[in-house]
Amino acid sequence: MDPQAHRTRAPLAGAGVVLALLLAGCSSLNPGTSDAADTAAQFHTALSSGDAQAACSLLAPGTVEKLEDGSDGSCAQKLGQLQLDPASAVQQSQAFGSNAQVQLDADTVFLTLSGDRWKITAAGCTSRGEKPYDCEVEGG
Amino acid sequence: MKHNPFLTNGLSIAFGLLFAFSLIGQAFSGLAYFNEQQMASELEPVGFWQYVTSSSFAVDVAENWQSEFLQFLLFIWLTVWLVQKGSPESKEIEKRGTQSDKDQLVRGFAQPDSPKWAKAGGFRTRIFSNSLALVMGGIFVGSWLVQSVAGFSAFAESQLANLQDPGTWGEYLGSPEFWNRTLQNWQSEFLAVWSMVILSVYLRQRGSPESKPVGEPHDSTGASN
Repeated sequence: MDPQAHRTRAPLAGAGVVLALLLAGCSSLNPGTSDAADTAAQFHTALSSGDAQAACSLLAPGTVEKLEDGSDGSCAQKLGQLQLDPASAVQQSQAFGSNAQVQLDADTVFLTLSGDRWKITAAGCTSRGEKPYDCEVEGG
Repeated sequence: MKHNPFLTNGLSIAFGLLFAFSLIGQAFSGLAYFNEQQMASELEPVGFWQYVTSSSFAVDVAENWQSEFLQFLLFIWLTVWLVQKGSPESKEIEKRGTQSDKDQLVRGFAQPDSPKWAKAGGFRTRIFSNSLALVMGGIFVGSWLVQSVAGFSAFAESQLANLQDPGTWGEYLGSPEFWNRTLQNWQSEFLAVWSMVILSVYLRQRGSPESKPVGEPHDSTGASN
């Protein structure tokens, strides 16, 4: 083997590994922001049309559990009672790894990946600056 | 006499295997730790391939890589001009600097078996003369960039899990999280080099080229087994 050729391949291999790591880092940036936005929009569409049962089916299990905790009543009943502000237009959607945030005209919704589908972990959220959002619906 | 290639390349083979086993170990232990945190947050556990292609794994790998390559870059580069009396890692004080072409066996002073780019002259000899630092520096910059991108992605993911805004990459570059990850690695690398430079003045390891011969005086600089 030509020793010169061997010598030039080592740095190339190093650069390849760095590139692979960079791609791994980048690949986690946006695994499906449009799907997350669709889920958040469907949630509010279901609530607006009075179908709280359909809205509940879009919530993460931990969020349903927290909602049903305490007083009697199903997820659909309690979600209907909360009277979340209606929202329809998606303004921004960001996803990192298995979590996403969708900002709508009158709400901010947080989601997590469950298998290959987005499920809502928190909705009816209001910003508190650096602190976590104050959410009317959220998981445990 | 022709030796067995496993014997003549034993050092690189041993460290290559140590690297591979450590990286695989890090992948499995990192996955277990990541899934512990997922379960604690009532989130779904992830699979092996999902984890090793995640930003969490990438940032944990890259933050260590960048500091190692920075360590070697600085050690290679600073030892051109800075010396340490008595250290086998240092040149003698009179040899500070990049030295003459004759000392370095380049251009007209190249030997018949010198590398082609050492003989070539011009930009090729200039590049080859600095190739070790250039490659170490390139991998350092690349790894640090990966750390910043993957670190931001992992940080943003945990921010979202905590119902907080993810922020931007630019904000992350100025964040305590980024600099804490960076500096905690740098300080340990610099301590290791500093210890090696100083301890090798007074201590010996018989047979190691990283040490002076056992009977070599403490103030003897640049000697090695």
